[in-house]
Amino acid sequence: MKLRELTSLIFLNLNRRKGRVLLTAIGVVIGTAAIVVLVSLAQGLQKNANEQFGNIAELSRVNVSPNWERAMEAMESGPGGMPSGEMPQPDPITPAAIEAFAAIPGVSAVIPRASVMGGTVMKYGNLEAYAYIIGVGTDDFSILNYPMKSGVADLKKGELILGEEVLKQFYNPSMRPGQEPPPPPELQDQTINLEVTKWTVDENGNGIETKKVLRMKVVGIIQASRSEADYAVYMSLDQVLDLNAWVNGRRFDPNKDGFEMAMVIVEDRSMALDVANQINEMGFMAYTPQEFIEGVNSFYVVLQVIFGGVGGVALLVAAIGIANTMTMAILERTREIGLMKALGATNKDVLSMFLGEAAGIGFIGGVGGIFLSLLIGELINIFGNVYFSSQTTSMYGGGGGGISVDMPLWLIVFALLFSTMIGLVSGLYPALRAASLVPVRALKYE
Amino acid sequence: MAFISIRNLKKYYEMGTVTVKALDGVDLDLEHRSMAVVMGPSGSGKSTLLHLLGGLDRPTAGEIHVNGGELTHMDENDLAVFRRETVGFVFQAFNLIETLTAVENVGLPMRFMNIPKKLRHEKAMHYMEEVGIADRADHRPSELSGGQQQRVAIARALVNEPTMILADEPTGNLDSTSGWSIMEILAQLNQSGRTVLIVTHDPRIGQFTDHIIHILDGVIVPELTDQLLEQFSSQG
Repeated sequence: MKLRELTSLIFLNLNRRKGRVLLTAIGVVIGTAAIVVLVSLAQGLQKNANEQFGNIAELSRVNVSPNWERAMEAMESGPGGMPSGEMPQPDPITPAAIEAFAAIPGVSAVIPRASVMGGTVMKYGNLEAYAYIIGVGTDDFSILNYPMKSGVADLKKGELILGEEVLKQFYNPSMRPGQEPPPPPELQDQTINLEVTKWTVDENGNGIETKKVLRMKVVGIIQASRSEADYAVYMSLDQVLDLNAWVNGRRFDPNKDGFEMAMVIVEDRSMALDVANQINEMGFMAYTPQEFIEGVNSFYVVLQVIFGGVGGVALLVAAIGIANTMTMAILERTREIGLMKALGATNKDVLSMFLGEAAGIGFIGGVGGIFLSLLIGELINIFGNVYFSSQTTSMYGGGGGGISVDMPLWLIVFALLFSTMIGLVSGLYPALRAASLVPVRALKYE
Repeated sequence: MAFISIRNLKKYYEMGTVTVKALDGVDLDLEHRSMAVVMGPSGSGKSTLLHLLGGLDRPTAGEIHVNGGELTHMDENDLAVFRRETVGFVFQAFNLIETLTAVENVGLPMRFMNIPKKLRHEKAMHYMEEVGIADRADHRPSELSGGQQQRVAIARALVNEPTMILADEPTGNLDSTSGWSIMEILAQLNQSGRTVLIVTHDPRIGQFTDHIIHILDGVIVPELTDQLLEQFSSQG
């Protein structure tokens, strides 16, 4: 029998037992909806959680620092115990080490970084703010992939790029109590004073405070993205190293001292963990937020499996319902099966017909289940967001977060195929029974 | 070899510990385009003979040759093809599908032959005209009389253009007038070139043919004498 004939016969048979087909399909509707809603709920929760993890750019980054922990252990277990009270020295991040990081497959760039060792305060008009300065060893700031709010992602000596939150840190030190705090200053393309302070001791043991003021131009503002950059002030690495030389009173030697830190940028965030492991093996301390995220994600995978399992139980019950309906149908239609065979239907024709009917019930249930879950998903999104946004805004000051359902297309397609499959599998035994009926006995059956 | 050639055909059923011999060594030859009536009391094995000949069941032993083919050597699939292409069945209980209209019932066998819908309808109408039921084409079986339903069933048996019509008590559920006209139709089909085999216990049907096969206790007997019938009923 051709597929077209077969489908028309299947449709005919399903159509003449509408009530029972629909009742059986309801089981599948509930099962499918349970799976789709619960799995997409877990997906939505995971997506929300991932959004809280901040900037995607930082997920494809591995931060490397010298391994102080290992140096300490090496010293303690060393043969001579504590040698002459000297601080243990870990392997420095030298230019050679940076080249080695860059040679790891999947690494697109390695940028050394340093912080200023003295006190740093930014002054603009009558406003001032503490500056958390990060010196980055690249002119091309876009390598770091931060979204720019304004200005350029290009950093030269004498220039600054600020995180958006930094602007809100500016305050008026001479403000009287009760006075309205000033609005955050517009600093794009403005020149500000960066005041660096160092403390030294003179020959009499008195502390001396020395200040140095740099005129810096703000060339760019980084859009807030819940990342480290939100509160950071970026400067060129050379200028930071010059400042440190002034603070420490001696030149920095990268080969001996090593860089404070290196940012290893990987091509794809999925490679971050692997790269971090390789750098750790080289004797450095590498950290990537990916480690944490993978832990959280595996929790959500478990959640999805559990939720899917709960829905699966509902679908299993539905499958038994289909098997029952089909078995009943065969009892009722035994004579008809005999007739079909007498008229020339092969065993395969009868088998495909009954399998098709069972799969049809599964399919109808799957379609119903998808519509039901789309509806439930919408409701959860509407009510869930209203409820949770009222909860979270007061606590964190920002919207977002909360509960939401994320129903990907693959899940819908999968649910439809799966429910049809369930129908097919539950129809297998009844259909085989129908196909193997001896025609003459089926015809005599009352 | 004759068109239908049956040799030493046996069909035994196991009923618990008892073996029922529905057919116990039947030999039969039927020529092409002949019309034969199988007569015998109920339980004599006449329906079993018809079912085996139509490939609806398998014998315990023996051979059934139809048009050069040997049924006992065929697998399930070949048997289905045999039933579809060579045999047209007419049943006592009509066996029409209630939810289909008359013309859809007639077209049903063609669905298994992948005949397109339009041609199916044309052919179904053609054979419904031949048996004089075309005017009821769009009625459902429940809206038809017994005689009309049997005509629909006969039209259904004809649509695949079988060479052999097997009718199992075709008049059994009908009043005598409708039964008579059904028999006339079957005789007509034989005259137009089809081999027709009718199983019945209605002695009037013998008038339609010279070839009457008497069967009793699973064997063919020359004539059903009163003595034989008495013997049969005393056994039962």
